[in-house]
Amino acid sequence: MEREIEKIYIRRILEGDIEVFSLLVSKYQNLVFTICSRVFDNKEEAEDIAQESFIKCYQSLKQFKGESKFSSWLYTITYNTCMNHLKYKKRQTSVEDIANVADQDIIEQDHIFAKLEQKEQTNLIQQALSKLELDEQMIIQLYYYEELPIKEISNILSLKIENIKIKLFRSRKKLFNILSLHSQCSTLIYE
Amino acid sequence: MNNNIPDPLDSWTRQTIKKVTLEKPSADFNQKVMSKVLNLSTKSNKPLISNTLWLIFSATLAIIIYLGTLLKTTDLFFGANFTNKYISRWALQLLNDWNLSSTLTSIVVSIGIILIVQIIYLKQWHSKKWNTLT
Repeated sequence: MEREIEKIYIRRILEGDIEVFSLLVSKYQNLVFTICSRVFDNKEEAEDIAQESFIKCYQSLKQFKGESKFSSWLYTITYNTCMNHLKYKKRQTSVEDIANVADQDIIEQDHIFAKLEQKEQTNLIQQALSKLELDEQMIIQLYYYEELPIKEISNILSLKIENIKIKLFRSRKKLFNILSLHSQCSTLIYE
Repeated sequence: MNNNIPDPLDSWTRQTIKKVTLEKPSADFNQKVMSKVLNLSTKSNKPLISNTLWLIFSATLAIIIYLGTLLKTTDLFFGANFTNKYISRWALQLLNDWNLSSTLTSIVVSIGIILIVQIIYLKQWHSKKWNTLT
C-alpha cells in the first residue's frame, strides 16, 4: 500500500507537480539525516550532505523503475553521497578488531549499561555507531532498525549476500566492544 | 562464521539499536531542500524554441526563399502553369549560372565557419557562466 502511494507521488513529481517531493522529504528526512550524521560529526555538514542526497534523488527520479522500494533506492543514494564525501575525509577508527564475546560479557555489559540513564545510553549507542565504518553502520541500521532483509541490503550496498552476513557478524562484535569500552568509562565517571 | 549457530550478540544488537531514536535535522530542512529543487527545475526549463522547431523553421524558410526566387522570375511574367512546367529546369539553370570567384567563395566559407564556431563556443561559455551564477 505504502509502496503504491509512493509510486503515485513519484508519477506526480515526474509530471511536474514538484511540491509533492516535499512529502517524500518529510517522510525520509530523519532517516537520511541520521545516516549522514553518524558519518559526519559536524551537524551542519551532515545536513548539507542529507540535502545533497535528496537533490540527487530528485534529479535521478526518472531512473527509478519501481522494482525496489523507494526507501532502498534513497538509502543507496545517501550511502553513495556519504562515500563520495568520505573520500576526502578519511576516518580512522581507534577500536581494534575483534575480541570474541562470551555470554557472560553480554550480561556484564547489560548490567553496566542499565546503570546509565536513558539519555546517556542513547548518546553512547550513537557514539559507538559513529565509530563504525560507513558500510557497517548502514548494515546495522538497515538490518536492525529498518528490518530489511539481507538480500535487499546487499542490493543497496552493492555487496554479495555472504559479504553482508560476514560484515554484519563483525559489526555486531565491533559495536559491542566499542560500547563496552565507552559505557565502562561512563559508569566510572558517574560513580 | 557459522550461520547455523545463533550469535548471542544478535538479540543484544537488536535491543540496543531499538533504544536509539532517529536524529532530526533542523526545522527548515524540508524548505531548504524544496527551494533547491525548485531552483533546479527552473534552471532545467526547456528553451523557448526547441531544436525541432528551429529545424522546421529553417526548412520552411529555405523553401520560401527557393520558391520566392522562382516565383519572382517566372510567375510574375509567365504565370503559374509555366512555373509548374519548367520549375526543375529553372532550378538547374540557376545552379549553372551561379558563378563566383574562388577568392570570394573562400572568404564566404571561412566567415561561415568562424561564425558557427563562435556561436557554439559562446553558447557553451554563457551557459556555463549561467549555471555557476545560479
